Amino acid sequence: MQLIWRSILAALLMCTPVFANDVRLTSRDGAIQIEGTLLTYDGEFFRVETIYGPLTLDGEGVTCDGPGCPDLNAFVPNVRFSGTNRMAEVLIPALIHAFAARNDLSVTREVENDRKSTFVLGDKERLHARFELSSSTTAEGYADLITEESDIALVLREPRQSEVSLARSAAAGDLLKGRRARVVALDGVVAITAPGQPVRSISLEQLAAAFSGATERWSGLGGPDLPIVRHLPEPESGLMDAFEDRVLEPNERIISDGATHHELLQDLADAVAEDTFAIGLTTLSEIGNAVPLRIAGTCGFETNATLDALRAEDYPLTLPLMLYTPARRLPLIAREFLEFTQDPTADIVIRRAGFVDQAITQTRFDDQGDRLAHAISQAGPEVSLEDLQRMIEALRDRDRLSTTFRFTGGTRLDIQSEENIIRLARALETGAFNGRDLLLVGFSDGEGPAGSNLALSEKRAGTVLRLLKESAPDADFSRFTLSLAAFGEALPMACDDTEWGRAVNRRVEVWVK
Amino acid sequence: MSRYLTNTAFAVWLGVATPALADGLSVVIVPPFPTAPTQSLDTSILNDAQLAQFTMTAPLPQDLDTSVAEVVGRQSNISNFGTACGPSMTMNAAIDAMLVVNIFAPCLPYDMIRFEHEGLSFTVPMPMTGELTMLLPALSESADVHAHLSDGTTLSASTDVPDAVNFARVALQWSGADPGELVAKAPKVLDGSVVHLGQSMDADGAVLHVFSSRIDEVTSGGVVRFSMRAPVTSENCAVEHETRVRRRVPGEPVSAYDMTLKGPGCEAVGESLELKNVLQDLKLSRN
Repeated sequence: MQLIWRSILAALLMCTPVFANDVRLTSRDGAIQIEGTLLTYDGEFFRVETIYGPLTLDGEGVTCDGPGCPDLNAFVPNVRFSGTNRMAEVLIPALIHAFAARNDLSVTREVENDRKSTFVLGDKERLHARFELSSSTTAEGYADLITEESDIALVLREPRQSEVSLARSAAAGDLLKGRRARVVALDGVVAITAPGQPVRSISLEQLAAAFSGATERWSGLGGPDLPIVRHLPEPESGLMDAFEDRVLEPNERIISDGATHHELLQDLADAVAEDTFAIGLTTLSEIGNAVPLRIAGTCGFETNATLDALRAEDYPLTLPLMLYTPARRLPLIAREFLEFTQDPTADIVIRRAGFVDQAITQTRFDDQGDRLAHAISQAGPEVSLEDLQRMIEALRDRDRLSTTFRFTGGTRLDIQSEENIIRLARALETGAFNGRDLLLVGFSDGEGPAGSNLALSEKRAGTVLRLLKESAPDADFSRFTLSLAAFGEALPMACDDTEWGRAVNRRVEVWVK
Repeated sequence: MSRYLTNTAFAVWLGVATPALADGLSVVIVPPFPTAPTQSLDTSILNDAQLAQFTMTAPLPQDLDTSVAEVVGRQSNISNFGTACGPSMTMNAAIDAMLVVNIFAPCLPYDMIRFEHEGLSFTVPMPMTGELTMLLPALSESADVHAHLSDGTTLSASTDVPDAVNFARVALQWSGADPGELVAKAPKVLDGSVVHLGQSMDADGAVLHVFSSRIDEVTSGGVVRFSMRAPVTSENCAVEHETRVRRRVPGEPVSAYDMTLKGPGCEAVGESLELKNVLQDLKLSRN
């Protein structure tokens, strides 16, 4: 009897720390013991919250005791995705289905509600993984990543400074360190109207004024004298964040009251499609039965949000859809999934889901008449006929690749262009351009003297060449030609009188023959 | 064959045929025994005197305890309407890539038949006559349809539906009691509609809803929104909804998958479960 009491007492004493620390990991030789709360076990590694902060330990080297220990034999990795509904609704489910099909796994989707689903991947023998998908906003995606409530964030923008410092203080690692963001697909921010609306193009300045409420009637945009009815996504959504950062802020506008905010972009598109007075802000993938407006510049350039324009980032409001991973190890199947999203076989899945993939496509010189016409009409005192002739001579027997590199300022590449470096490097490594002649062509905006612009465009082309060589260590550079050219401000893609126009013009294009 | 069977069965019933023939028949015929009681098998007319005429020269290959009346009833194989029980199914392609499916099972009136087509199934109650004709949108160019009857019989038919390549079809199978529905919101210019098939009374039942729209050169572009809606009832609130989706759109690979929907629970009886973001919209490009 006494023995029983003792055992109970011992059990009670044991229990106290168990509530706080549900696992004890002991090294094989017994020398080191770590106690803590199990955060994750990915089939290979334990990740434990300890008094020292979160630690990752190799499962091979330790034994696990305590109620929190996973069943090592029946282990099924759980991969949690959280973030913007722009990706969680269609894109990620389509990619998960395609990933499972490629690995001969069947998928059952367990739907909790419109915002939360779990995809159970398995075959006849066993369960392989559970992919949990939470659909909310980019900001919540980052928040969940920082608090370790998710493994992969679905985001439409890079983390803001506040999110980076929050991550640092939460010991979730430096959110910006290393290559954490992978661009999976591209989308465009577009303004839409009903099919009957006569106004068909709009400048970014007019867009800011119309959506903020400053321009109240269509007559202010060159249309009939009718009120503008505004339809916007939810405030705080990644799309709204991107629009604020790229359109409202540069034009010093804020959204005034009176606009209708929609939780679902499909409802927004449907509402706009049925109302001739309406203007809506949505993405190219979710225009429904409404019609997108072209983005116009004051000098006569107009850009449509087309597949090619988004891939080449010639459209000023390209929206990269990204997977952001934390600074910790992910289960093998999660890493395989991430790898799959970057694979060319995923491109078709992305296109079918209604988004723009990053496949490298070619446009013939002959099909670029518009650009050349603009180049000639915009040629000023600093761009001579000889400059244009020199450019035509270099490009006329080549095709332009969709791969274009753009710079956030100076010679730092933007996120979509970083992805382009990796894509092009991989294509070079796999021999896709063997026997071809690639020309990296630098361009600049038209601000400042032409001489320094030419030098700057040359420097940008040089940067791209260096990054390509660094990223393609396995490429056989003797099997294709890779050279540089620069033409400064000679071939603008947009008007130089706005910041966004200049940003579109600062670029390195790739021409191939 | 059926006439031979009918004649033989009649002969047995009338006590004309020798028991040996009846014995042989029980091997030849594997008749479906009706689950519902049928008037024609009123055993009261088989009086003892008649039954006594049978002398067993050889044991029946089945259970020896099977009552003779039952054997006779089974072998009679005649429906209420005097037709042979033998169930049959015919299927033909009709306009707009539809399948005309006809089931004839006169000995199984009110039976619940489970149809299966391209991995999707739905249950349909038989009318009193035991004959059923329905239209089913073909989900494949070479269409196979199977009908599972309650007696274990499976009838199969197949036919080619070349026109099916011109249709976008999104099918949703919803199993269990009080199933939900597929809701499609299509612009007027698009010629699309949802076909509702089947009835589901209990956990074994299923309905199939198919959105169908012809896609060809003259089709105008547009987006069809799909959502799923189910009433929350005392019958279905405690269980998960089992659904299956099959999407077949020209120019896309066929996709099919299972979904389990967690309802809001029994405290939400009377409300409805609506999922707007789970099924991918159908985007038809403008030509």
